[in-house]
Amino acid sequence: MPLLRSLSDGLRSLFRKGRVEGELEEELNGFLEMAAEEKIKEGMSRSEALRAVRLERGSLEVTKEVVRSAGWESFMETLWQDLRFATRMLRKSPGFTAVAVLTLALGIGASTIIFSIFHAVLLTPLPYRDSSRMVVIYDREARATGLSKLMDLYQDFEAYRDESRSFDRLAGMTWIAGNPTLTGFGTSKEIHEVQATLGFFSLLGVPPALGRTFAAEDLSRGCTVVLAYPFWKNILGGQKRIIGNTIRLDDQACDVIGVMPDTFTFFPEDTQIWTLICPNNNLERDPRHSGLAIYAHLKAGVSISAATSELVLLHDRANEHDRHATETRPLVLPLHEELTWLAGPNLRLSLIVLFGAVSALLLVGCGNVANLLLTRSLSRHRELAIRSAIGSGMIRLLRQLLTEGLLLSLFAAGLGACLAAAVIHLFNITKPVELPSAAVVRINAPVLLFTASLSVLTTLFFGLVPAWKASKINLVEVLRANSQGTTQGIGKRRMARMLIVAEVMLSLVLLAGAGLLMESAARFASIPFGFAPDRIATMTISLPPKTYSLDLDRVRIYDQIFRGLDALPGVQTTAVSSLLPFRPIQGFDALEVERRQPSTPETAHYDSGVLSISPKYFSALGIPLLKGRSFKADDQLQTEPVAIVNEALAAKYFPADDPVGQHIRTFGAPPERNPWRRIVGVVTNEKRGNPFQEMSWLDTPAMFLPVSQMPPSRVTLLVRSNVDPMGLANIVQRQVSALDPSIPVSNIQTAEHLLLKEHLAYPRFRALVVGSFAGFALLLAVIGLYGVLSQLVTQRTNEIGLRMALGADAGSILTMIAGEGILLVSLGIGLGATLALFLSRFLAGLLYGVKPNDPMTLAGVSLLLLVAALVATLIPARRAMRVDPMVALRFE
Amino acid sequence: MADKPSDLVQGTLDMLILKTLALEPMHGYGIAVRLEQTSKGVFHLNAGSLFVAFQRLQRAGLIRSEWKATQNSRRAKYYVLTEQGRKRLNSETREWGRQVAAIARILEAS
Repeated sequence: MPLLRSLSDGLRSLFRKGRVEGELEEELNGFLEMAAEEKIKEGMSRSEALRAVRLERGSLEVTKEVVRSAGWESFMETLWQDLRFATRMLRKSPGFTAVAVLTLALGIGASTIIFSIFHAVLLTPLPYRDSSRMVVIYDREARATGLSKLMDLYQDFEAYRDESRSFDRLAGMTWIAGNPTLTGFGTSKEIHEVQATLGFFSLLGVPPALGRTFAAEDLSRGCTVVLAYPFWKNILGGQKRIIGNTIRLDDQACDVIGVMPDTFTFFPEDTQIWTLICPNNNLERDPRHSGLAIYAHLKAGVSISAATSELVLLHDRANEHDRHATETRPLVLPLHEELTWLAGPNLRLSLIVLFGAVSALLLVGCGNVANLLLTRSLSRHRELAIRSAIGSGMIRLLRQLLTEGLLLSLFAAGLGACLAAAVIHLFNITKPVELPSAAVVRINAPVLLFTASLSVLTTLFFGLVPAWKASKINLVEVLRANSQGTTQGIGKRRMARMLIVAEVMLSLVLLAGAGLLMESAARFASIPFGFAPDRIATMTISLPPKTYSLDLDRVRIYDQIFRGLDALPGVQTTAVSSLLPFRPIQGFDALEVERRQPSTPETAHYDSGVLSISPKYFSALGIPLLKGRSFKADDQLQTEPVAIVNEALAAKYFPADDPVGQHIRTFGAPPERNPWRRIVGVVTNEKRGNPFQEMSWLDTPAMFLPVSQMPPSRVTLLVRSNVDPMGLANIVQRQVSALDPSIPVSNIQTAEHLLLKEHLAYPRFRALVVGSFAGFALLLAVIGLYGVLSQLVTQRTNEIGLRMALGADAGSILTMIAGEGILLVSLGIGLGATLALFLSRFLAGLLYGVKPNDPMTLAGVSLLLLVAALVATLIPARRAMRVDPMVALRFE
Repeated sequence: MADKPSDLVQGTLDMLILKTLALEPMHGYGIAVRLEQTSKGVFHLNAGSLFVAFQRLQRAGLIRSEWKATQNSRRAKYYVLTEQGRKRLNSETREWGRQVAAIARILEAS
């Protein structure tokens, strides 16, 4: 209540100033009159009495001022006054204002952009119920030294679900099992399916937009699906009556029970349908060999480590007498962290680095504006001195100067926010990097709050020192001295030099970081892939499992499809693989070599991958054959089973012998599909990604089999051609449909797009962003240096003239000024290099082919900075050199 | 000897004004005179501190004001103690008593 009254009283004094003042004046007058009357009664004359009262009680005007300034509203009034004055001052020097506002707007805008991404990815809670307590449960290999994440066995899921006490809710899902074919809506389409357990949607706590999500009674039905909004809208036509009806997936009728809202998203982002895992599902039928990821909500008060220990017990009990118990361990991770990691293994680190870089840019900008203010305060000396002489205290002056600074910052923040909004808009359209699907980058209240606090913070950074220096005025000296050459300037000049050194230092750190990141991105992208990825289109063909259940049927249809393709105009080569280029080879198979000790479950090493390819695969991708031969058209189902291995496999399994001619097979597969295969060739390792690490290729041992001997039900077609990939895909689709309309052709893209999206996007984004920050910082530092040296020359014109009059030649004047600049820059570079060497170790995870302390990079950017600084130094130095002594000495 | 309210213990002036107003509504000068008389001239108040205190007390809701005629038929602003002000006066008087007693004990002990 008192607060409210104080507020309303204060507002009354602010807005009804005349009336409030009148009242106060009347009251005070009465007070003083009454006091005077007493004195008159005691025998004083009226004028004597009034004088005495003024002395005793204070004069009317002073008292009015005292009372007025006691309330909070007087603070506002002064602020308003200061703001009006500041606006006038800024308008009087538009050049200064424009440069300062633009510099700050650049820094604040860039900071706002980075913060909005930082906030969206790392600080915004996931859009699920009580998401801060949500975790993901994986297995990890007990022997693995690095990061290891495996899907959980379904039987472990059942054990955790039924017995664990650490979680309120627990659900599992897998995105590996299914890419079923949808029929009945245009051409056959491959659908991205996630199979989820009953509790999946209730765990996330997001209600559907239409219909309902999974319920217990659905377990006894055949196939129940919930649709993703875009799939429902774009592919099924967005009709509400689809709820309660069926769609056909892999020739099976599935009941549609609900549609999730447009805003709902979970991993994987491109999920189109969620199907319920029912008792007849392959996961339930084979719980020891099928995997899924488990998500759970930790009970209040249960820590991740406590939950992990409980899961270890359950895991060991469920897998008693099984190598799974000893080979794997449960791994519990916070869901938010995991989803960030899935979007980019280095996303968190990248964002932290970008944040640091933008802070350095902002500081360089602040340094420049501080220098501008210092320069300006020199020319405002007299004004400040006069204000001080007529009674403004140091605090009052300081406050007024800071208000001017704040006004600059506020303008800059406004402009910066507009700039940020435009760039974020562009960012959201072009999507240069993958972010977690739940992260929406936009300018919202927290981001605006951040921008506003930045404007206050920057005011303190750039404004406090100049304001403090300016407000500490030695009155007598200033008013006596003429406007030029004063000792006052010296302190400011020292300050200006320190600021320049700091700016050069920060710029060098930024340049070094940018240099390392750019070099990494360039080296990573220029690795020879053996082929030009931009001319290779990739697309997926999946065969409906019922029609093509036999190897023979699959071999025959593939044969027909491929033969048709090679005849197409513009097509140079076609090849087939069961795995997209650049995608990591999962080392989930164990291998056995004939005439060696047979493997047992205890000795088997699950370290290799098996791929099916067509004969032209290696030549199409330019992968060199090191030994032996490639597959041939007559390697068929009924001929001798053959295999080709990569270098990694040869090195691991045949370190001493020649692998060609040896016989191998996978361990543990059913014998009728797993004969001994003769190795006919060895190829070099392909460039395939590492799922656990950005910017690295992983050489997993791989065994290649001919598609004609091991035909998978889903293959990737690689077509090298000189026609547009989308047009090509349409032709392929038409050809395939002519053979069998139920076969979908999907995931059409170029190998280049795959490479860009999954491997080059982050390195290039980081290099681009840090590079542009470094560029701006360099520009600002150089402009700052130029400004300070110019100021120096102007201030010392007199002195230079005198020197020249006394016989100094132009060369020595040039050396004097340029020497000053070079000294400052060298000091900045020295300090910056030290700081860069210290900080660059944090970049180690983001680099490729270059060490964090790479001397060449550091030397290169130092040289760049030095050359830029030299240019900035020479312009004012030449001006100094041309000073005409006669003019200069008259310049008083 | 304290001759300026700034030498008064912080907040004491507010308490003294409240106490004065507890007897009857009074105008500014009346309060000043009353405080000087009752303190036998120990406190002498200048207008500035007095009126700042009025503004503060009024904003805290402890007193309110109204314009009335004085005995000399002059128009003056009279200050009236509110219910809230009376409560505050009671509690502050108690607290003051406790503190004075405590200080006295300390001073006597040495």
